[in-house]
Amino acid sequence: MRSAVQIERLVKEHQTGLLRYLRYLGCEENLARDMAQETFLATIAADFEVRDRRATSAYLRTTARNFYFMWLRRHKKEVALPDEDVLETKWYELENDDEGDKYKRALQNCLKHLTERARLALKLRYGENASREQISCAVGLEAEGAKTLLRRAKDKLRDCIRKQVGK
Amino acid sequence: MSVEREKLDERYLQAQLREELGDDVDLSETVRSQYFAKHAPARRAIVPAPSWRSVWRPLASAACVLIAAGVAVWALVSYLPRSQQQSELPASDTAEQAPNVDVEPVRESDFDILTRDEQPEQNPAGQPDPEKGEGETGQSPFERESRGDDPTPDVEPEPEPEKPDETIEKPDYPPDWTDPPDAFPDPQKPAPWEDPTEVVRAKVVVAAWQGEDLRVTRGEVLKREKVAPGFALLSGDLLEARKPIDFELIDGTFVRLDGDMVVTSDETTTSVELQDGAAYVISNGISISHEGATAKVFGTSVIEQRLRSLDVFCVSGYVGGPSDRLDAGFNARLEVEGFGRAKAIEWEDVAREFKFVRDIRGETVWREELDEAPGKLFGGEIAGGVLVGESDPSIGIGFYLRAPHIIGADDVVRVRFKLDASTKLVLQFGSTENGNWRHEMGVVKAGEWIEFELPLAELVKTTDMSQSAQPGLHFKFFQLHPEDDTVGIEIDWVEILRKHS
Repeated sequence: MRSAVQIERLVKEHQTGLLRYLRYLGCEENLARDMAQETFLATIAADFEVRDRRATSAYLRTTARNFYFMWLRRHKKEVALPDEDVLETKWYELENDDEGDKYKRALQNCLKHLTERARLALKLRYGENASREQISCAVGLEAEGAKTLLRRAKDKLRDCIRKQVGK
Repeated sequence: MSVEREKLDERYLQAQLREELGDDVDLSETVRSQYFAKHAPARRAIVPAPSWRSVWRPLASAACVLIAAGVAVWALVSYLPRSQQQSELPASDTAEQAPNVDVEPVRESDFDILTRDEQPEQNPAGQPDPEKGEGETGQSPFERESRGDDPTPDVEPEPEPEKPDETIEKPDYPPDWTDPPDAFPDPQKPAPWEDPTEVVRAKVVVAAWQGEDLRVTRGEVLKREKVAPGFALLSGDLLEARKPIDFELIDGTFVRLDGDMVVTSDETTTSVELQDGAAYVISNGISISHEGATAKVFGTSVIEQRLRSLDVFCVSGYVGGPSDRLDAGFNARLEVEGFGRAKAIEWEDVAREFKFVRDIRGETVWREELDEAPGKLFGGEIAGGVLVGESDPSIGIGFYLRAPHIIGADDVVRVRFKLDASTKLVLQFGSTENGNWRHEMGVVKAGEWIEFELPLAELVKTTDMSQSAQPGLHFKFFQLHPEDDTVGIEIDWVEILRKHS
């Protein structure tokens, strides 16, 4: 049995990383939140012994991954995912021993180099879950134009981040 | 392997973008409450205190009884001499009025506790005469006791209360106290319902809109002002479309307006008041009203405002009235009481009647943008909202649908794609119950985006070309593949349009 304070500490310390991992697996936004909640509840109920941050984080990721795979099976979804070792290796490579901080800083820098319209399109798409029509309406482009704008913005970001992070 | 890793790169970037550009998520409250809802801490049993038993208890009880009796006797003794004194004042009356009871009267000498000498002095100096009564002094015995010997009243009569002022004054609280919001409303400020700026707090009712020449009236804030796409439209705004304008309402309803309307929304329902003109509506239950006539649209309809009524053209689904309904393929006048006589119509009749819907060919019943893999992919990968890959005659580029799509009689598939080399191409759907269904597109040009459209009824069975696809089939996957060569294919989106018939 855990105290409310222990639960709050565990969730606050790991929720960002766990949500990021679930999105990385391909969960859409609401599903990622549901899976993260289930993961925390199962971990707390199992009286998992919190030793160090890294071990806890790995335990939570494994639990979340299993929950997600179970959900895919239950809903008969056929999603092509790489093997677990590929998923984990790539995750460690991207997180870079600092829980993705360097990547995040690079992303923040690179966002500044985009045009205002591209930033708006990204903000609507990833910040507000806006539909393609809403984005095209906001940036004053046809639906295909908005899609191309988003694709080019992400390409630029990826290149820029790669240069700054070195990968 | 490298394709998988690139896909993971893309997802990681998207995850970081969501963190960076989205709202902060805090799950701690939810997790905590859900955990304690399931694992409520056990309540502590309330154990009654052990009863205290003592040998002194009977003695203590007896002592209490004795003390109580003593107090009662003392109270009686102190009361009787006073009542005797009072009985002496109107002696003649009391003797006559006293009830004839067989009790010996109590004599003063019987009491050695209180003698006449020890009785309070009758009418001592400075005290009011008991015969005059207390009313003349205007003071109670308690006030007399507290003010000692001064007999004169020192309490000024209170002035008459002033008539309450109209203005509300703030009490003189210490400076660090904070008033609750609106605790002291400014009488100069109009009431919230009179203040036009309060309208700004209304709910946004339009998720997106597109078109030219939309004028908005919002109380006193906006007076028939022309607004540009992206302008937030709120509940209660009067929207005047000088040219047809497309709206996507917050409940998912699509409205193409050629006229004036007011959209309102509360916690549960969104409704439209059609004030003038007509609207093409695709909805799952929105109310469209005009002067008491209210139509609930489930499907697709064109509705025109008339004098105290609505002219309803039901294209698909049905339209509900107060107690009846109008089915697809019929037109009828709706008044407050209900629908009038229905007349059979076709889409051509509707398009002839309403110029503003002529370019509408149908409604999109399924669309895949390919921002992510909807289901398992047949080769290729999703990159930047496009499915990209090499395809050869043995395996196409394609994907499983998120859920099987049941095809309708007038369904049309539309796809936007690009080839890196010119070749003969095949479009194919797989069904859950009866194999695959294909269409040979012939030679397709390379290097440019192509939007291709095909009625699903023109698909034929891959293994038996004499069979064509019938309504009711469940399509589960979509593919494009070359007939002979290996080519690179990019698919931007695929959709199925249900054409109006």
